[in-house]
Amino acid sequence: MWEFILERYNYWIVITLMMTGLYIVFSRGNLVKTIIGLNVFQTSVFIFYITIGKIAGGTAPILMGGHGGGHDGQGDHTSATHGADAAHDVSVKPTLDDLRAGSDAAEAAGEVEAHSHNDLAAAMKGVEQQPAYETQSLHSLPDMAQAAQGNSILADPGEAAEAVLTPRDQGLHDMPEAGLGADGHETLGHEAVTSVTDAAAHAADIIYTNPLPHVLILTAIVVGVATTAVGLALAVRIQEAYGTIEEDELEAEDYEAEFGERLAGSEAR
Amino acid sequence: MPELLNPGVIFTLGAFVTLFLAAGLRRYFMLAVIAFSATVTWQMDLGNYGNLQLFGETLTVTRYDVLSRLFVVVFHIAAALNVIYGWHIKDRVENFSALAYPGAAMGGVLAGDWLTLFVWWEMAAITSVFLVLGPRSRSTYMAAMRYLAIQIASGVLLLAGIVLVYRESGSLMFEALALRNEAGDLNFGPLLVFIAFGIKSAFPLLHNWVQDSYPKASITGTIMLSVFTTKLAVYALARGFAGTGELIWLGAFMTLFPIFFALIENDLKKVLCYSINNQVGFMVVGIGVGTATAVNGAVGYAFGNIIFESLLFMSLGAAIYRTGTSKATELGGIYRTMPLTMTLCVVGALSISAFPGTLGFVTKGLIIDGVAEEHLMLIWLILLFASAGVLEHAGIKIPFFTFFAHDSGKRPKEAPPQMLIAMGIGAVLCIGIGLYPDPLYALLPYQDQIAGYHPYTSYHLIEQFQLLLFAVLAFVVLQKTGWYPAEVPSVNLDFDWLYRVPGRAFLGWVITSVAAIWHLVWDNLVRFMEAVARGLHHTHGPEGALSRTWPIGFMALFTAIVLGIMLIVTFLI
Amino acid sequence: MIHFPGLEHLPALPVIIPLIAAPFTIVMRPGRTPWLWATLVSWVTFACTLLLLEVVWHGGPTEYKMGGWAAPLGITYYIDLANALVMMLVAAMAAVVFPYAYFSVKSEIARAQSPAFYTAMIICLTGLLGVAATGDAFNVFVFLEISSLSTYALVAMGARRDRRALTAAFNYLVMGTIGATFYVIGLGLLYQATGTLNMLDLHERLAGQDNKVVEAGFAFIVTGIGLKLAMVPLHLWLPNAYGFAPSAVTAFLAATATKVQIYLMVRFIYTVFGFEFPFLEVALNAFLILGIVGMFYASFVAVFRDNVKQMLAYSSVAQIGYMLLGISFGTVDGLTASFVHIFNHALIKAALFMGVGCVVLRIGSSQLTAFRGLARRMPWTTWALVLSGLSLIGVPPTVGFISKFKLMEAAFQTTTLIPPLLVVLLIGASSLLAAVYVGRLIYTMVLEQPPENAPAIKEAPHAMRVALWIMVIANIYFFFFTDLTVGVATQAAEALMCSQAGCGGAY
Repeated sequence: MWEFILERYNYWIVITLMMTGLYIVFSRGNLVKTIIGLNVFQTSVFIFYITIGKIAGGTAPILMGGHGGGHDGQGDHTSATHGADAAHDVSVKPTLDDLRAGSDAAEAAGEVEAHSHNDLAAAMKGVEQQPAYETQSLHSLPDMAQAAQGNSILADPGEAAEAVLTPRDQGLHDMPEAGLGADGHETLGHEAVTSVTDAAAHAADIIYTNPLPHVLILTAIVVGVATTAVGLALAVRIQEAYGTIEEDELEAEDYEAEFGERLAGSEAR
Repeated sequence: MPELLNPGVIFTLGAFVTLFLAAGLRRYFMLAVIAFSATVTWQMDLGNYGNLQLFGETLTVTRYDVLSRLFVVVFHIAAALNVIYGWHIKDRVENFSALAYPGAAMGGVLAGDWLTLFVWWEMAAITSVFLVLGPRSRSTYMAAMRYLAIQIASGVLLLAGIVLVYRESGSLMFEALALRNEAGDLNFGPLLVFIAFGIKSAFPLLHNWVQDSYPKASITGTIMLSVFTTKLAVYALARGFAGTGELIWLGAFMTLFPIFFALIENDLKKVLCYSINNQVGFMVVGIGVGTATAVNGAVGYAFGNIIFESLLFMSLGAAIYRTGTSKATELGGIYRTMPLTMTLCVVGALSISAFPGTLGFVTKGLIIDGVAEEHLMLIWLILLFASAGVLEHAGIKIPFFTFFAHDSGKRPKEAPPQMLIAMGIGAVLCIGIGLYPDPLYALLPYQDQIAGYHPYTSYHLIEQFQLLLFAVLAFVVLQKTGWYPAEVPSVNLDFDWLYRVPGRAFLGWVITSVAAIWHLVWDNLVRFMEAVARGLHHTHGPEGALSRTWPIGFMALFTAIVLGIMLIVTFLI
Repeated sequence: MIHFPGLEHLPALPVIIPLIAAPFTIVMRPGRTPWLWATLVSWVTFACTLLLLEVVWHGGPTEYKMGGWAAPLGITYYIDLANALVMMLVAAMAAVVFPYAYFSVKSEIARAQSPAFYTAMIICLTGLLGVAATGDAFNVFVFLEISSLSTYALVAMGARRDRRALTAAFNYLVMGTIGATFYVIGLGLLYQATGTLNMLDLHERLAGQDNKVVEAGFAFIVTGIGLKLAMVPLHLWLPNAYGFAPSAVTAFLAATATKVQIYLMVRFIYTVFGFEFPFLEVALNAFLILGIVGMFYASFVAVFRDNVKQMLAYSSVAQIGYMLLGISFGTVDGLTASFVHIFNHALIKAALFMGVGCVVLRIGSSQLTAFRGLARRMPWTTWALVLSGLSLIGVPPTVGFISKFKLMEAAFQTTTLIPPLLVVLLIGASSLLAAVYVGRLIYTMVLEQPPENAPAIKEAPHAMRVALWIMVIANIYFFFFTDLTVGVATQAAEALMCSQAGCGGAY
C-alpha cells in the first residue's frame, strides 16, 4: 500500500500542484493571484512531462563518452547527429546496439530511444536493474506495452533505418551547417562510426533520460512565461483603467456600466 | 441569363428597382414592369426553361405548362389591378411588396423543382410580411411576427418534406406526390409537404393566421394578401396532390365552418377573410376529387375567385377608405353617395354567389359537376349548402351591411377614380367572362374535358337559380323576423333567446361555444407563450443568470466540472 | 503548372510568410505602413493557400518535413483537403478583413499602437494557419498558444472604446490557458501511452488501446479543445471577448478562430482517435446534446441581447452547435455538413461583424438603438447586413441555406440518441430563433425611424464597404457555385472517414 503510494510520488506532487493552482484560480478574486494560480497549474504540467521522461538512474540527456572529449558542446551535438545518420547511411552492418547508440547520439530521437534505453537497461544491468525500471515507469502497464512496441519497431532495424534515411540523406545535403560535400560526408561517416561504437561501449554505463519531454517542456515554459507576462500586463492595464484588480469590484463596475447604459438607452427611446 | 428571366424574376428585380425610384415615378414603373412581364410571358411557349445545376441536380426555374399558365395570367391581372387601385399609395415598402409579392407567387407557380418552389415559397412569406406590417403599429408588428412565424414554419416543414421526398425518389422535380403508399400508410415526406401546403392554403385549424393578419394590413395590403398566398398554395396542391382523397373532406369542411364565423362577425374585412377560407375550400374539394373536370373547375375557380374576391375587397376597401371603418355597425346607408362603388360591389357579390351570367357561375359549376360525376352525394350536398352560405355571408352580407342596412348617417364621397377604374375592370371581367367563358376555358389545363362543357344548360341554370332563390329567401325571412344575426359589436349569448327562438339560439350556442372553445385554447396558448417568453427573458435576458458575465473563478470551476464529468463518463463506459 | 522555385516548400509557406513578416511590422512607423504591409502579407498568404488547395485538390495530400526531419522525430506538415480548405478559409478571411481594418482601426485604436496591432493580427494569422497545417500534436499546442496570446492582446486593444475589453481579455486569457493546459496534459498522457506526438503515429499506436491513461488523455483533450472552440457550457469567455474587441478583430476572429478549433476537434476525433476508439461514441453523443443545447440556449440569449456585437457573438455560439451536431452524426454527410458550415458561417459572420464595424465607425455604438432607421442613413451597410442576416437564418439564395440543407440531409441519414426527424425539426426551430433575432435587427434598421435629432452621417469608407460587399457577394456566390465548398468538403470528409475503414492512411 505505502509502496504503491510512495512509488508514485511524482504523480502526487503533480496532482497536488495542479489542484493548488486550480484552486487559486477558482477562489481568488485578485487578478494577480489568479495569474499566479494559473502559473502553478502550468508548472504542475511541466513537472508531469519531465517525470514521464525521467529514467531512474539516468542522467540528463547530454551526450557523454569517449568521443565527447575532443569537441565542445555544439560540435558534439552536430557530429553526433550526423554520426547517427552516417551510421545508417553507410550501413556498416548496423547491429542493434549500434543503431540504438546511434539514435542516442541523435538527441532528437524521441521515444524510439526511450524504449531502447529501457531495453538496454534491462538487458545490460540485468535483474537488479529491473526494480528501477519499474519505478521509473509508474504507470507500468502501458509502458510495458509500449516497450514491447518499441521493441517490435526496433526489431526490424533495416527497415527503420531505411525509413529514416531516404529523406534524411537528402536533408543532410541540404543542411547548411553541415557544409560538406559527398566526400566530407563519407569521412564524417567513418569518424562517426567510430564515435558511435565508442558511445555504444559506454552506453552500458550511461543511461540517459528521455530528452523529448524536456524539449517539449522548454517550449511549454516559454509559452507559460508569455502567458504570465500578457496576463500581468493585462492586470496592470486593468489597474490603470479601473483603479482596482479585485474581481468583485470590477464586476460591480462592469454591471453598472452595462445596465446604466441600457437604462439610458431605454429612456432615450 | 435571359433563360432565367420569368415573370417571378422580372417582378422581383423590378421590385428592387422601385426601392430606389422617386415616389411619383414608381407607379408608372410598376405598371411598366407588369406590362413587360406580361409581354415576356405572352411570347413564351409552353415548356421548361432556365435549367440550373446545383448539387449535381438540375433545377428548373421556369416550367410553363397549361397549369401554371392559368395562374400566371391571373396573377398578372391581379397585380395590375392592385397597382391601379393603389395608385395613390406612395409608401416605398408597400410599393416594393406590390411587385415582389406577386413576383414570388408567380415564381412559385412556375417552379419546376422543389428547391425553386421552396425559395419562392419563403420569398412570398417574407415579401408579404411587409404588407401586414404596413400600418406599423405595435399590434401589426406582433401580428406580422406571428404571420411570419407561421409562414416560415410552413417553409421549414416544406424543406424537411423536400429532403425526405428527395431521399426517397432521388429527384428534385416538382411532380405529383402520393400521400399514402400502396398499403395505405402515410408517407412521411409527402405528409410534411402536404402540411406545409395546408398551412398556406389555410386548412381548418391551420387557418387562423388569415383572420389574424389579413385585416391588420392596410386596405390595399389586404387585397393583395387575399389574392396570392392561398392561391399559390392551391396551385401547389393541384400540382402535388391532385386526387388525394383526404382533400375532399378537408375542403368540404373548409367550405362550411367559416360560414358560421362569417355570419356573426362584425368586422366586414374579417368576414371577407372567412370567405377566403370558404372559397379555397371549394378549390380544395375540386383538387381532391382529382378528375379532369374537377381539377379544371378548381383552377378555373381559383382564377375567378381571384378576380371577384378582390373586387369585393376593393369595393369594401373603397368604403373603408372614405369612411375609415370596416365595422358593420358603423357602416350602412352609404349607397346614396357611393352608388358606383355599390354597383360594382353588387357585381362582385353576384359573382361570388355564382349568379348566372357571372364569372362565378361558369367556374363553380365545373367543381360541382366534377363532384357529381364521381357520385359523391354527401359532398355535393355540402357544396350546395356552402354555396348558399356564400351567398348569405359574402353575396348579401357584404353589400347589404356596407351600403344599405341601417343608415349610419355617413355621407362619404364617391370612391376615387383609380379605385373605380380598378373595380370597373374587375367587374367587366366578371361579367364578360361570365357571358363568354370560352377564353377562360381555353386556358384550363384539361382541354379534352372542357370541350363539351356548356355552363348555360337548363339544368345548371335551374339548379343555380333554385339555390339562389332559396338563399335569398332565407336571408329575407331571417332579416325580417329579426333572426339574422344583427350587426352587433360583439356576440353575446342571451339566455332569453333560448326560450324565445330555440332554433336560432341553438345556432348561436353552437357558434359561440365553438368560438369560445377556440378562443379559450388560443388565449391560453398565447398566455402560455407569453409566460414562456417571460421565463426565457428572465433566464436568458441580459440580466438573466444564463447570459451574465460570470467571475473567472466560476468559469474555471465550470471547466473543471465538465472535465470531471468527461473523465467519469469515459472511465465508466 | 508553372514551376516556381521554392514550390516544394509550399505547404510551409502560409505559416512561414506571416511568421517572418510579423517582426518587421512592429518596427514600422505608426499609421498606414503597417496596414499596407499586413494587407500585402495576407494577400500573399492567401495566394499560397489557394495554390496549396489547388495542389492538394488535384494532386492528393502532400507532406512536408520541417527542416528535412522525418516523421517520428521531426515535425511534419500533412496537408490534405480538410487542412487546405481551412487554411484557405483563414487566409481568405485575413485577406478581406485586413484591408477592411484600416479605418476601423484608425478610429478604435491609438495611432501609436497600430504597428503592434497589425503585428498581433499577423501573428494570430500565423498561429491559426499553423494549427491547421501541422501534423504534430505538440506543434498544434505551440501554434494554438501563438494565436491565443496574440488574440488576448488584440481583444484588450478594444479598451480604448470600452474598458470592459480588458476584463474580457483577462477572462479569455485565463480560460484559454486552462484549455490549452488541459490539452497539453491530455497530450502528455497520450505520449506516455504511445511514445509519439505525430498524429498519424498516434493513431496507429492508439489502435486497440483502451486503458485509463488513454481515456484520461481523451477526456482532457476533448475538454481542452472544447473550451477553445466555445462548446456550450465552456463558452462563457466568448461573448464578452467578441463583444468588446475592436470591430476588425471581432470580424477576423469570429470568422476563423473557432473554425480552426472545430477543425482540430475533427482531426483529433477522426484521425487521431479514430472510429475504432471505444469512447468515441461518448464524445459524439456529448457533442450531439451539447450542440443542440447550444443552438437553443445561445439563440435565446441572442434574442434578448441589445448589443448587436454580443448578439452576434451568442449567435456564433449557437452556430458552433450546428457544427458540433454535424460532427456528432459520425457520417461522411455529417462531417461534410460541418465543413460546409465552417466555411459558410465564416462568410456570414465576417460580413455581419464587418457591417457592425461600419456602424461602430460612423455612429460609435453597437447598441441596437444605434441601428434605428439605419436604412436611410447608411443604405449600403444596412443592405449588406440584411443580406448576410438572411444568410444567417438560412434563406436562399444564400450560403446559410446550403449549410442548413446539408445538415438536415445528413441528420436524416443517421441514427443517433435522438430520432433524426426530431433533430431536423430542432434545426428548423433554432433557425426560427435566428429569424427572430436577425428579424429584430432588420426591423430596427429598415422599418424604424431614425432618431429625431440624429446628425447626418456618411456611409462607411470605400475600403470598408468594398470588403463588406465582397463578403456579401461571396455569401450569394457560394450558393450557386458549391464546387469549392460542398465539393471539397465532401472529399475531405470522405478522406477523413475513409481512414477509419482502412483505406490506407488518414490523409
